[in-house]
Formats: sequence, C-alpha cells, structure tokens
Amino acid sequence: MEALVLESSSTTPNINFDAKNMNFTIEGECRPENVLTYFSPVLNWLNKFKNWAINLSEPIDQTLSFHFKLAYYNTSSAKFLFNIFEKMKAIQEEGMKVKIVWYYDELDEDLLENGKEFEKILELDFEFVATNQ
Amino acid sequence: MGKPSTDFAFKLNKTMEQHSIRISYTGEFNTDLINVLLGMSRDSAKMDTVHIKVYNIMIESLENVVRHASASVENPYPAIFLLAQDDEYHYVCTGNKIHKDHIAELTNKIDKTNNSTREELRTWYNDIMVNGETPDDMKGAGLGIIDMALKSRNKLHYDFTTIDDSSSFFVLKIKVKS
Repeated sequence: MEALVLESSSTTPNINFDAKNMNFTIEGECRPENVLTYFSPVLNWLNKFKNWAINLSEPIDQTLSFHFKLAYYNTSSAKFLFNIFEKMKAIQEEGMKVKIVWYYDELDEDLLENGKEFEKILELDFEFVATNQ
Repeated sequence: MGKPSTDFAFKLNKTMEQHSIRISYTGEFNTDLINVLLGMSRDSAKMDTVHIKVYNIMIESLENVVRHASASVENPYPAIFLLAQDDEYHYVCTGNKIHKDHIAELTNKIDKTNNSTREELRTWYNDIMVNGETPDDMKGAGLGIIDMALKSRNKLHYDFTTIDDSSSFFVLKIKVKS
C-alpha cells in the first residue's frame, strides 16, 4: 500500500498517510485554491486503504490514529474534512479501531470548538491535544 | 480622480487615522493578495486569542471577495479591504460589487445569522456541511457568513449601495471584541 505524501504550501497542509509505518498525519494551513482538486486524492487514498486493510490475511489490530494538526482550515475545506472523517468511520465499520487526534493552539477556542462539533456529529473517538505555538 | 495630489494623500492618511485603520487595500483581489494581507496582519500583531480570530475571519472574508471578483472578471470593479481597531473592537471590513440578483439571498442569510443563537448557528453550519453541495474553486461551501458570525461572537453589519441598474456595492463589517 503506497503512502500518500503531499508537500505543504502556503495554502495547503502537509499530508502523510503511510500505512506501512502506521503514520497518518495532516499538518498546516488548509485553504486550497481548488478544494475539489486538492482533496480528491486524499479521499481516493482512504478508499484504497480500506479495501487494502479488509483484504489483509492478518487484520490490523492496533488503533489507527489520524493526527489532525491544522493551524487553520477554511469553510470550503470543512466539507471535505467531514468527508474524510466519514471515510474513517467506514474503516471503523469494517472492524478496525480508529481514533482522531485533534491538535489545536491553546489560544484558538474556535478550532477546539470545531473539533468538538465534528466529534458530536460523527460519533468517532476523538482525542484533543492543546499545543503552545 | 485622474491624478493623485499630495493633498489627497494627506486627507486619506488623516481619514485612516480617524477611523483607526491599520491596513487598507483597494483594487484587484486575488489569492496572492490574500497571502500578502495575511502576512501584513500577522507581522503587526502578536497572535493571542483575539488576533487568531481576526486572522481567521480575514481569510474567510477575503476569499469571499476573491470569489466575487473572479465571477465578474469581464467587468472588474475595485473592491476594498480594511482592518481597523479601536479600544473596544477589531474590525474586518470588505466591500465589493455584487449583482442585484444576489442582494435578497445575501440579506436573508445575514439577517438569519444575526437572529440566530449560537446553538442555532452551529446546527445550521453542521447541516450545510453534512448535506450541502460540494464546493469548488468558483463556489464556496455557503458556510462563510455563519463561520464568521460564530468566530466573531458579534452581529454582522452590512450595507448595499447602488452602483448602476444591475449592481450594488456590498459592504460587510465583522467585529471582534478586543
């Protein structure tokens, strides 16, 4: 299963989804000029990952922790973040353990609140980590 | 005004001071400009809770203006961005031309936002995020106004001024308590 690596830019986050090393991290500012073009490969990768994981001879036992270290995301990206979380929920529904780790600047009350809202509407396991930047 | 005079520059400077304006830009808006204005606002402020809010609201409001500007690329009209601050509030203000057909929808949306409780705004935001149309580069998610109201925790101020038969100048002002 090939890793998904997207380098960051001034308007897009660094994404590293690496099934081999069980590292799933998205980090930085997220306000792509074209959200659809930017997020399509991410959603496709998660679909592929689910199918790959289902067909493993030994099922994945450890918790899949997805790390969201977003400094900021715009409202166009919010919709796609929701779609990403839905893919993660679909992975969970296949019997795997999924956890979302949501990092937020301790001074950014809105980012924390947005994470709590995602937790509420998705019923996924969220962990909140305050950072000091 | 054809030729800018020194008098004009002096008066403009005075006006900006009177209105406590930190950053003012008028002209063509594009994505590169957003980065420049964000950089300017970041350099001139230490990032505490209030400045993080102002910064985030700036992004959303500037993206709205850029989206409107790209929709009227054949008939461009200068837009304006202002960042101001007095003892009580920070202000993010944008002004741009919109087609008259959009006035009713925009008015309804802002009025509904201003008349909603925080709880209602959250529910509305979530409903659009979950069930709304997929955004692309030309079309936002329809969440910008609600998002800015949630972040600012204040009512949004707006105004329309007629430009000609088919268009108006739309001004949106968002304030954040210092």
